[in-house]
Amino acid sequence: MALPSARTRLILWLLAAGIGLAFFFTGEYRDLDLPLGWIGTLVFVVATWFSVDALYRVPQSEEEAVVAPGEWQAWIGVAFVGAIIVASLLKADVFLPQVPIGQNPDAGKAGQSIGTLFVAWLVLAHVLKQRWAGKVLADERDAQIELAAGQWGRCATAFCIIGIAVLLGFSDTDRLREFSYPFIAQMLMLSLLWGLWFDQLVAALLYWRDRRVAAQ
Amino acid sequence: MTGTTISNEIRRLRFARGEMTQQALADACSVTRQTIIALEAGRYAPSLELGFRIADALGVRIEDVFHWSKPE
Repeated sequence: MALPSARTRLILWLLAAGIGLAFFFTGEYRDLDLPLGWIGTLVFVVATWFSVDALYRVPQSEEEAVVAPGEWQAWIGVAFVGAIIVASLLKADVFLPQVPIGQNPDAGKAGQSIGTLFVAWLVLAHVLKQRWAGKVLADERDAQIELAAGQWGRCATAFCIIGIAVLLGFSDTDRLREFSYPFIAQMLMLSLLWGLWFDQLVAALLYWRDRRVAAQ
Repeated sequence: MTGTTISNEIRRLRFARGEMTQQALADACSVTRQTIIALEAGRYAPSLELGFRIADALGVRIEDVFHWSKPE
């Protein structure tokens, strides 16, 4: 039987990595006998390793060549920061108790999940840089796009911080007691993540718009 | 980025220079191929330095590559 192509192998390994990551997220919180969290971590690490190997074997397609490295990185950033924001929102309630984060095991587990996503993002970004080794990854046009996207990102962060300030400032005393310090810290972290996500999204859209117009 | 009042002859000059590829020109100017694509489509106005680098890579003077049309 013929082996699947390098491209198919890459897709299959990435799917396996995704399943591993999903196990990691859900496994720790399910009342099952199987150590799904641990199995998920193992599957994720092994699948990521083989994905890297498959990625080096895949020949560069025309689609990959047409999309700027900066655009690839921006879209990947949108996906990962989006996943981190969703994971943070899903676990937001674990920060509600008036307990320092270091003494709250649930917050620790949530932090591990979010940390794993950050690490996966860094690993993927590094692998892609290795794949494009020797090519120009960014130039003055990328710098202009990053500048414009950064301005939008800062506005989004400021908007979010003002929203939190208004929320805290106008809440009555009983409601304020429900907001623990770890929860407020989590809201501030989410504001930064929101700004970063918006920054990546605007950059990706600016690249995409230029590419679409140039193709016409 | 947005459209620009600077037009250029990069595409024509590339073909006049032995059908030089976008990637070859990008490599010669230390920019990405996508920047050359954006320049040819009139979606990006280069810096003065990049303008000179492109002209140098194409073996012509900068005024042979870029033209500025005064906005009305």
